[in-house]
Amino acid sequence: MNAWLLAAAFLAAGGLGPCLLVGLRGAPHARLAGLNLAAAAASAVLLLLAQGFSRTSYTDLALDLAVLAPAGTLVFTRFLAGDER
Amino acid sequence: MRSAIELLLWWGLLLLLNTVFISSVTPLEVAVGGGVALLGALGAGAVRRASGAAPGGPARLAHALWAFPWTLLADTGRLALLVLSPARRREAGFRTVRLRPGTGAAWAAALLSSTPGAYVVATEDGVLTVHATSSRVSLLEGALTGGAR
Amino acid sequence: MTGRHAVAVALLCAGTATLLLAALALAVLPGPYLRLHALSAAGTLGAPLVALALAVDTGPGRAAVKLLVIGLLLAAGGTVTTMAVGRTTVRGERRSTAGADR
Repeated sequence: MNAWLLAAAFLAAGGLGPCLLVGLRGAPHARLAGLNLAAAAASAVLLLLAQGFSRTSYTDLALDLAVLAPAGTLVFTRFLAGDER
Repeated sequence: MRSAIELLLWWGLLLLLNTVFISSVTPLEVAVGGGVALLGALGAGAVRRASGAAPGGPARLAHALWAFPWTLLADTGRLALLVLSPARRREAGFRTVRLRPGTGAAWAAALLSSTPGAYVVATEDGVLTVHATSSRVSLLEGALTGGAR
Repeated sequence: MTGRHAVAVALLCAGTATLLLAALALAVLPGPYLRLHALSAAGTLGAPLVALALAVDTGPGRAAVKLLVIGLLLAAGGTVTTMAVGRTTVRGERRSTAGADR
């Protein structure tokens, strides 16, 4: 157990937990905020796990998430705005 | 000519990114990266032209970049205060920010939104509609508006 | 503990604290607009600080640059999506209040 794994544990519970709470209740646009924050927190958790377990391949997961999660959020915003167009 | 320079810049950027991300830099890898980066550069240039996006003018860029880190830290502190004391939450709300002429709306909105103190929801004619956590003008906002409200 | 590791741990604590603060703010702050400010805090300060801490700990080299680029991508993506989610929230709230009036 090193500092990175400890931080990853804290972030996974305290960072992703509230995001889950927000993402499971409320209007669609409110849930999107939880999704967005969860992406940032999850990327950080993946980076920390990569360092904690000394497996550099996990860093690629964080890279993929950093690139794809904003794209996913933008798809959702486009979808939610769709009725007006 | 300009499109050739743009293609070269995109190619260079993508090749650089590729070289950073791969695990071992061998001539074969760099060659493959160069080829794929060329395809990507063609696509990136086409997308940029199709989107019609432009960053805008560079006025106040230096001032804004200087003010950015301090505003980032101050706004995060303010966010913590907002979480702790409900009384300060009343100050938050929508207001407008009038940019100095020549300041690009795109990069100014991005810079302003990246601080926790405000995010931009609409922009029209150099006037940004932001939702801010306080009615006080932050350092970055002062840099972008040139002091005037 | 070497100096570099100490700096890395300090940056890690700062980044983790910011991310936890952002998550708390998202859950606690009232109203649809106020809590969106947490998204910028997490994306621009929290996650890049964690990436910076890891880069400092890894030491100079391509791996550190890779981590810094990931941090930059997180900052850029977070900013763009914060603006997008803000606009979507404005639209969604406008639509729901218009529906309530009917």
